[in-house]
Amino acid sequence: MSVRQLWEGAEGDNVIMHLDGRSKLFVLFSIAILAITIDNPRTLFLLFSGTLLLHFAARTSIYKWQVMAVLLLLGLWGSMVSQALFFAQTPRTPIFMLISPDFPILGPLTNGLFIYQEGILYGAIQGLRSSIMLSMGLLICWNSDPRQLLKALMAWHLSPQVAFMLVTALRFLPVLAAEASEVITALRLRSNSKVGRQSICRHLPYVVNPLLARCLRRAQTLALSVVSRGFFLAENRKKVVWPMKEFSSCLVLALVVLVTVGSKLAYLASEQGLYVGFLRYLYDWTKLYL
Amino acid sequence: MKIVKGGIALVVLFFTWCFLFWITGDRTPWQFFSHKNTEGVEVYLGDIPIQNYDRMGFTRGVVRYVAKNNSWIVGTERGELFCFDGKGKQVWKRSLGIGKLVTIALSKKEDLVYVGEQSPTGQLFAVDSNTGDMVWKYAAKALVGADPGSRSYPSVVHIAVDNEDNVYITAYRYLLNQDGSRGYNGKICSFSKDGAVNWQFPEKEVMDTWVNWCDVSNSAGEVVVATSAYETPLGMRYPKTMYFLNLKTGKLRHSLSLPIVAPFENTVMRGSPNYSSDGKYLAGSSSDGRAFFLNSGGEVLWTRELSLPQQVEGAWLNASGRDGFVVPEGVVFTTINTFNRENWQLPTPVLHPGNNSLFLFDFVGNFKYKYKADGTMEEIAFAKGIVACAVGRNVRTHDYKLAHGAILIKLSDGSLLKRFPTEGPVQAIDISQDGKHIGGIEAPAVTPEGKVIGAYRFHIWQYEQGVG
Amino acid sequence: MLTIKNVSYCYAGRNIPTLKNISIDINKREMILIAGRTGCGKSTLIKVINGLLLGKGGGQFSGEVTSKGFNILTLTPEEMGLLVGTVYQSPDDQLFAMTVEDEVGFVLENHGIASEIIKAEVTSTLKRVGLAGFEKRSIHALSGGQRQRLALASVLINKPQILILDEPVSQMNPVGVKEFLGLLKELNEVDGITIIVVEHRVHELAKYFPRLVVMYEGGIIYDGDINQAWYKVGDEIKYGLREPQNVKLCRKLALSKLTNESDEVISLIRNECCIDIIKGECEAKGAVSKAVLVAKNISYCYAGAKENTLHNVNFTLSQGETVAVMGYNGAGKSTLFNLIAGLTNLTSGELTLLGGTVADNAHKLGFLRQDPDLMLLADTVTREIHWHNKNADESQIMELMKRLDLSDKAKDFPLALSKGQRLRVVLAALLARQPKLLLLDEPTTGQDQQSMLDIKNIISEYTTSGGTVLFCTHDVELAAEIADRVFLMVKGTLLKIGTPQEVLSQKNLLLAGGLSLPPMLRISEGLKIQKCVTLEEVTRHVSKTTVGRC
Repeated sequence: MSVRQLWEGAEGDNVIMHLDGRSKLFVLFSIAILAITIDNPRTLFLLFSGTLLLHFAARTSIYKWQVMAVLLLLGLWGSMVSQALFFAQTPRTPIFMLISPDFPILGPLTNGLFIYQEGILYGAIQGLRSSIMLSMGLLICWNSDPRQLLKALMAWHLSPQVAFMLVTALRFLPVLAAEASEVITALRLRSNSKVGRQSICRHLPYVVNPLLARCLRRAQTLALSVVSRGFFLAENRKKVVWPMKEFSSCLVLALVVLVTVGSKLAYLASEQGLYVGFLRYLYDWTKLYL
Repeated sequence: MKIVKGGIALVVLFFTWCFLFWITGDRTPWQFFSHKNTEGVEVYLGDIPIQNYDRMGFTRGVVRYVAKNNSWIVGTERGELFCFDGKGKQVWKRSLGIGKLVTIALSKKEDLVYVGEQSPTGQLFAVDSNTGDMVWKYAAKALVGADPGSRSYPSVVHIAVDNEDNVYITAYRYLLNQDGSRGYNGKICSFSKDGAVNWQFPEKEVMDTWVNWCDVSNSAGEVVVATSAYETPLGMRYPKTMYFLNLKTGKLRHSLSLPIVAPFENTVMRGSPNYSSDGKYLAGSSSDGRAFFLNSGGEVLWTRELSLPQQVEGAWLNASGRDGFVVPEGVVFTTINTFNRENWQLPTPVLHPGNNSLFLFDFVGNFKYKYKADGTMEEIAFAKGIVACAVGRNVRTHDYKLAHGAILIKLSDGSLLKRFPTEGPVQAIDISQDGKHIGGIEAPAVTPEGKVIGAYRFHIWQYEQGVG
Repeated sequence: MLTIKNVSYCYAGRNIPTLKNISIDINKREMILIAGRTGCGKSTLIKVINGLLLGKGGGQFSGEVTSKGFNILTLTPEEMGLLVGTVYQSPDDQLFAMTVEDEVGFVLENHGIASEIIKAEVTSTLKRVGLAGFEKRSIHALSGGQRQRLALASVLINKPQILILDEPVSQMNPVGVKEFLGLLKELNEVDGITIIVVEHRVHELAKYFPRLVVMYEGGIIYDGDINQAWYKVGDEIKYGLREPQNVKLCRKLALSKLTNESDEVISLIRNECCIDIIKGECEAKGAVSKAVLVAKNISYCYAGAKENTLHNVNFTLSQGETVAVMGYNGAGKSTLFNLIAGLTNLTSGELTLLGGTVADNAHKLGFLRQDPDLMLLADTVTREIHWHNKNADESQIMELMKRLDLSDKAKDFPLALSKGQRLRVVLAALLARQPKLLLLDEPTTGQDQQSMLDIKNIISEYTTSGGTVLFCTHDVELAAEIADRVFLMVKGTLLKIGTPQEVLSQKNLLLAGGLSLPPMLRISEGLKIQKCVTLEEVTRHVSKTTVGRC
């Protein structure tokens, strides 16, 4: 599979593909809100596992799984390692000492370098948050026709220009990916060393200029094309009915999100003094699971 | 090559998922970084913030042995109440919410567990010891108020249960007034077994003192309440050291102020007094290091100095007294850490010779023996002829290896029967009446060197008389 | 149908108008070819015709554009879209949806047409453009040519009266060009749609378009019968037209008529020239110099592919040679180039580059990729040439820039230059490193005549000074003109290696390789002389005769 094919929506026939654009976007937004609201590591982990299960349901290809794995691992371990080393909140519990405070030069300079238990968990929480969003975002990206999403955004009365911008970003992702790959190839070819010709990472900072220039030209062409094809005739467009099953499911999800956010807010308020006795079970539940 | 790299990524993702499953759960890997005690059973009690070893307030827990089914009720600072069987297997677990569980008592038939917490409502829970079901609960907020905005939470600090399963609690809340002055709200409340309020003392107001301890005696028909206010400002309505209440009505019978000893402004009792089993006597020790033996009328029969305050480099040091118990072998008192009157938050430069010790006197006040532990005796519990001590931190010597653990002392002569070492300090203990089963709660700490020692665990040890 | 009168336009922020007093009448059922150098104003003229020029932040416009007396500049872009449909150069830049039917139906959806009608219209339009049955196909699964047809269908469904196509065939191979132009012709003849095409490949498209409009520096310098254009503008390099070879031959032989029709040229030559049917011998190539690249039984299979992309390819490339690699899209040309450049590894076989392995020596070659814009990385032309080439001899670089006409562009941002200039910058950057071997992948695609000449000169100079060139092209004329040898690839194998004369004169080989017949081959067959593929070869046999003729 080429880099471009990676970022193009799957041709497959699966449940996720056939969902209405509004359903997909709604689920994406809801999960984003849940990911931000929930602090409990186990709940976040379950949410993350849920998004991975959705990938199974969407029959994501092995290659895409591999790409996703690399991105997820970078986020998760990057977050955990950085927090493990540099966690600054208290309490913090050192579980490994890497550099003793007494170590010559580095010790006094750094005050000691430790791996902190709370840091690992905090990093895991942040990593899970970003992984949830990455996983969901890739799921939607890989299983959506940009027009589906455009219709959804327009149905929600988002300005056509903004909707178009959002969807164009998605639409151009495969092309951008392919061109980035081409630019990196060009950079490799212009390296004057063996290492440079093999490496990809060292060339990444230079891909911006050519891609940007190409994007500017492309954007103009696309804009002209869609304008002349009547894209901004929003009022003429036939309303697409949101399937009742999906709509109901989204309502249920909305309720879950509302309850979650509401519980969290109530709990936070109780910590600040707005404690209401009959909400004790809610506070307990929130403390345990959110 | 790309396939191999991709495959490796997937495998690493799978293991990362497993790792995340592990660290986000209850059984986290952190205990693997601490020393494993091979003796007895260990049960991990969950993640808690690990406190600095030298910190003034420290991680605690509560534990009681249930003889009827050889089980243990354990309450943690996470607000969780566990029941473990004799082998450490969890029978039930109940989360009681967001508060810290600070005190525990069993009904006489051991069918109910009474648990007190510190939280925005300061609940007293009555939980079925067999199932963990909540039978009834009461919010101490109704007694002493609450001000969560300034983190002034009510707490049920101590529970006593009489022979008829009436429950007596001391409820307390620390106040920080707008003018910066400190205050206390205290109250004693009595409940029937089914949670109905029998009486409150005072009935219509709160005690403006720090009430920390109470005990009850059916024989004496009395409840004794000890106060712990270090300062007694002018106009304080409840300045006395002890108050004796009618068991049934809660009416004040009499009160007692113990003489003050320099450099203290008041005599404070934090963890005593306690009645003898026949209700005729009371034993208690004060924070200034004195031990008192009283009759049930409140008359002091004799006083002993467990630790005479001494001045070292201008600062007054003494070992704080805490416990006082009347046992068949005599009268037991304990002292805890050395206390610096100038700045009670800091460890002291020297140890008072009387600190971290258990003393036994006979009933007329003759000194029998003193057993000095290597760390603070955080709690003691009695079995037939044995006293079990939870030995915690020694913030002066930082003796991690030798200090921490549970010890069994023979009451008759003060000899050490058995030591169960732990890596972290033991903060709570209980023992079966026959002395065979001992349960202790170990807490983790981070040393000044940055090392983590111990873990938040519950230990179950077995002791056979004559063995060990 | 559409009248453009005295239209001038100057983009905001510029001093020089891009269009200067343009007047042009577009009639019904016409086929018009618009040509001219890069930057002459062709794209701006398209925007005038399709009404997308005037908008917020636009420049200064003067003149009028009317249709049947009605000023169409007052129409909205959507309304103009019903009159004029535009297909842009790159399908990727204008295709929006995932499936073919969604893309084609997009415009009708926007107009609120019922879905049943949309479905029927989509089916009939796809049939029209030769994509019948492709409704559910994903756009990403289409070939380049199919996507171009899809882009055409997406505007055709609106039934425009005028269809504008901006360089629609610049990326296509000759077979694809023929098919696509055939389609356009059909749309013109059957549906009566006016077709306007903007292209550089005048030499290939000339036979389809009766009318040619040539633009130069914002103005129209020729508008009329294409056959008359050769007299007026054909041989002026500055206008950027690539004359058909037949016309060049007529010009070279000073025939009484300049014509693109092969039969007519043959007849004229017979009447007006002296034909020597000799066994013309090609100039013998010098002694074979040392091998630069040796391929022994190389094969390559992409991961997951069932068949090899390259099978048992054997060849030797000598120093100083210029070799053209030709064949269908998908024949394996790019794969071969990637292997030589060390971007991928062989599945089997041996590839020796400059006496060593590819891994050791790949950094000593220069590789111009198919899209040179993506090879421009720096902020100025000078920095671009110095990229990873810090030890370059300054005087040599100045000389190189001079030869490539880039001296006055030294401080310019490369990506802001014209297409031809951008290509020359990339070439300069590659040549500055003094590569031993130059790989050029389709170097003349989308280039105007001037740029093509520049590229030919560069190649010639480079090989003269000892360099070796391996280039990919579909352009038979170019290959015949500059290549020492031709490698013809078909389905991953080298079908034929030989001189251009040997390879490009075999019709069966040309057919197998998807290449168009060189016009000179047709002429030489008609004259019954030895098979020729270049102008020079024909003129070796034919000389001007008849007293009085110049």
